[in-house]
Amino acid sequence: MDLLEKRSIKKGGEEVEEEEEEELARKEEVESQQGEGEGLSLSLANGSGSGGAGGGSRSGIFPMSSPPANPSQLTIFYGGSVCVYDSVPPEKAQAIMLIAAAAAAASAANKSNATIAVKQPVIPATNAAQAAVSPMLTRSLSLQSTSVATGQTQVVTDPSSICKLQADLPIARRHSLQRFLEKRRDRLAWMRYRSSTLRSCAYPQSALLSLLCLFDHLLACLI
Amino acid sequence: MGGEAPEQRRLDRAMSFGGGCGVPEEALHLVLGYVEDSRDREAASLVCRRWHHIDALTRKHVTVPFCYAVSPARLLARFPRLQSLAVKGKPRAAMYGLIPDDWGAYARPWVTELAAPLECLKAFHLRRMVVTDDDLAALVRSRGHMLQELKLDKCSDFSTDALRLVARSCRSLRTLFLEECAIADKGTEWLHDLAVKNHVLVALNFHMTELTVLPADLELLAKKCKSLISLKISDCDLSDLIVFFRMATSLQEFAGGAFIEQGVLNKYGNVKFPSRLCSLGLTYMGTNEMPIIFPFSEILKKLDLQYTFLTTEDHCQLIAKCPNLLVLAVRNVIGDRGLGVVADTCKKLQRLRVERGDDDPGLQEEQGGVSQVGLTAVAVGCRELEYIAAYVSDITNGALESIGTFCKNLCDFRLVLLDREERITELPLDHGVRALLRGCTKLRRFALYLRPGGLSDVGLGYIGQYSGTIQYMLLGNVGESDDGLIRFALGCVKLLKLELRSCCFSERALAFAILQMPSLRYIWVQGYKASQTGRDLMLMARPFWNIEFTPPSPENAYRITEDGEPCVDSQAQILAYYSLVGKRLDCPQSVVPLYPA
Repeated sequence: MDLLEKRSIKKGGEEVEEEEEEELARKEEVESQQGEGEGLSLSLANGSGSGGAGGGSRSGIFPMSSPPANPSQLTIFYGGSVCVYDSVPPEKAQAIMLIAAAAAAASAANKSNATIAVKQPVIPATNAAQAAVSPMLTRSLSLQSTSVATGQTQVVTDPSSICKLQADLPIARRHSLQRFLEKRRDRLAWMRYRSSTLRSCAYPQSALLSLLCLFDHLLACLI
Repeated sequence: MGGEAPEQRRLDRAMSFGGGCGVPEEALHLVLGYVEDSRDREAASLVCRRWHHIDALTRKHVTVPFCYAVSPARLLARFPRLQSLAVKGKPRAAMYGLIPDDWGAYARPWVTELAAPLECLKAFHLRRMVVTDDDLAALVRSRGHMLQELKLDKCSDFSTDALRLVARSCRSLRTLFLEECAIADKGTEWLHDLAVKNHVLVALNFHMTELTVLPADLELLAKKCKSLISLKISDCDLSDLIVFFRMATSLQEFAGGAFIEQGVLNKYGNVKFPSRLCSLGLTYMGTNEMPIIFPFSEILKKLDLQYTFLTTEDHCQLIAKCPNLLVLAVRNVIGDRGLGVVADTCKKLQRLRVERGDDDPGLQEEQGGVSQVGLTAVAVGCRELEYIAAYVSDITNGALESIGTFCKNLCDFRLVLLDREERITELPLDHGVRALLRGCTKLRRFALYLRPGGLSDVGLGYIGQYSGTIQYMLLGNVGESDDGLIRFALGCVKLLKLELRSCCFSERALAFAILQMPSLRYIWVQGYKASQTGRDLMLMARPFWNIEFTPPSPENAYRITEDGEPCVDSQAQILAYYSLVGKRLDCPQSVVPLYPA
C-alpha cells in the first residue's frame, strides 16, 4: 500500500506527490546517518487507541493507550525533544507512524552514507524526526487551512501546531530598551512600596515589617 | 569609424584625459570636489590614473563599514588627505547582547596609524568599537587642535579621564557624541572642563550613558556656548534644569533628564523649555508631567517617547497635539489606537519607530500592542514615511500591501513579529511581502523577523526576486527549507549586507547561496543547522573572502545571564566578509577563522 499516493494533496498536480516521495527518501538517507542511540517515539492520543499499533512490531513505535486529553493530538519524542501536534486526523497519524516504521527498517538495512545534494534540507541529529515529519504534516494539514486559498503551496496557518523547529532563539532585546525596562520595573515597585507604607503608616508598624514589605517588592521586580 | 579626421578625434580624447595640453589639474580638482556621493566618486576614480589620483587627494569622507575589511595603512595610502573618517566594528547583533565582549573591533590600530598621518582629519567617528583612554589620548595628541567632530557610538572601555583630555585639548570641537557608550565614571570634571574651555560646541550627546551630570556644569555650558543647539544627557532631574533651560536660548534639541518624583506636578510645572525647542525626548515622563510639553507641542518635529511611562491614552492625547512631527519613536504601548491618532494627525511624518515594550502585561500596558490595524492606518495616513520600524503582535498580508501601495518614499522597512501571541491573523505573509517590495521601489534596507510558518519558501523567493536595490537585509525565522534560501539568493543582485537569524538552513545551502549573491560583501548568521566544525562553509572559500565560525557550545545552552535572560552564546555564528587584510589576528577564543586558515 502506497500511503503517499493516497494521502497526497492534489495541488500542483504530480509535483507534490513526487516531492513527498523525495521527502521520504531523504528521511531514510538521513536516518541512515544517525547514530544507533536515537529513538523515535510516536504516540497518538486518539479515541481509537490502537490505531497506530499496526506497525508496532517495529522498534520505536509505542502507541499510547491512556485516555487522551485532546482526542486528535499527536506527540512525538525524538532525540530528547518533544513535539505536540493538535488536530491530526487519525489517517494522517497512521501514515506518519508507518513512514517512521519504514524508515527505521530502511536505516537498519541501509548503512551507507548517502550524499545529500544542496537543495535538500540537511537535517541535524536532534531534529530529524520533527523536520522529516513536519513537511509531511505541512502538506497534509494545509487542507484544513482557513487562510486565503491561492492555489499555491501553503504553509500551515496555525503555527501553534508546528513544533518550534526554527525558533530556538528568543527575539533578542536591544540593550538600551532592556536597561530602561528594568529601571521602570524598579521604579514601579518602589512606588508601590511607597504608597503601601504611606497607607500603613496610619497604624503603628515596626521597622522590620516595612523592610519586609520593601524586600517583597524588590523580589517582585527581580522576577 | 575611420576616415575623416582621426587625429582630430585623438586630440580631443587626449584633451579630456589631460595629456599635455589637457584640462588643467586645478579645474579637475574643483570639479571633482563637487562630486560627493561615494558611488559617483568610485566611478570617477576608475576612469584613468589621473582621475584616480585626484579622487584620492580630494575625497573628503570615507566610511569603512567593517573595520576588518581593510587595513588603516591601506586607507592612508589611498586617501592621504581625508577630512572625515567613520569606522564600524562589531556586528549589529552586539546591540542585542549576542556578541561576546572580547570579540574584537579595537580602535587602537586605527588611531595609532591614522591620527598623526591624516593631516586634514577633523571628524572621527567610531561605531561599536573598543576604545581605550590611551587611544583617545593618542588621538587628541595628534589631532586635538583641529578636531571638530568626535563621535563614539556604542563604544566601550574608556573613562571620563579621557573625556577630560578631550575637553581640555579640543578647543574647536563642535560635536561630541557619546550615545550609549559604556564609560567608566570617574567624576564630572570633564563636563566642567568642556564648559570652561569650549565656546563653539554645537552638539553634545551622552544620552543612554550612566554618567553623572551636575546641573551647574550644564548651566556653565549654556552660558559659554551660545551656539549649543543639541543636548542629550543622562539621568538628571528635570526640576534641576530649570535654570539651564532659561539660559540655553538657542537650544533646539533635548533628550534625557528624568522625573525623579512623579505625581508632584508643581515641581515640574516651572520647567519652561527654550522657545526654539523642536526635538524632545524626556526619560521617565509620566501622565502627570506630560502637560509641560503642551505649550509648544505644535512646533515639535521630533519626539522620543521610548523611555517614558506614558499609557496608551497618554500617547493619544499628546500626539494629537503634534501635527508637525517628522520623527516619532515610541514603545508598542502606543497601541493601534495611538497609531490611529498618528495617522490622523502627523501627516508629515517621515520616520516612525515602534519599539518592543515589556512582556509583562500587568504593568500599565493593557491596551498596548500594535497590529495590522495600526500599521494600515499609518500607511494610509502618513504618505511621507521614509522609515518604518515596528515590533508588532499581529499582522496580515493586507497591512503590508497597504504599505506597498501608499508609502512610496519608503527607504527603510523593519518588521518584527513578536512571539507572545499564539495565533496570528494571517500567515504566511508571502503576498503582502511581495506587494510591499514591488510597491516601495526606493527601499534600501529591509528587515523581516517572523516565526515558523511566517514566510514560505515561495515568499522567501519573492524577497529575492523583488529585492530591487535593497542593500541591507535582516531576516529571521523565514522560509521552510534550503530551497527557499537558494531562491532568495538567486534574486538578490544588489544586496551588500545580510543578517540571518533563527532560520532552518543548512551550512551547505548557506555557502551555496552566498556564492550566488554577486554584491554581497558581509554576512552574519546565528541560529541555523550548524555543525560542530562549520566544515561545509568551506564550499564558499574564495580569495579575499574571510570566513569566521563560532562553534556551537551546548554547555552554555542553559546558563542564565545576569539579566535573567537565557544565554544565547550556545548558538553557532557565522561571520563572512570581504577583506583585503587576510585573516583576522585578534579573534577571541570562541571565534575560529576557517578561511584563510
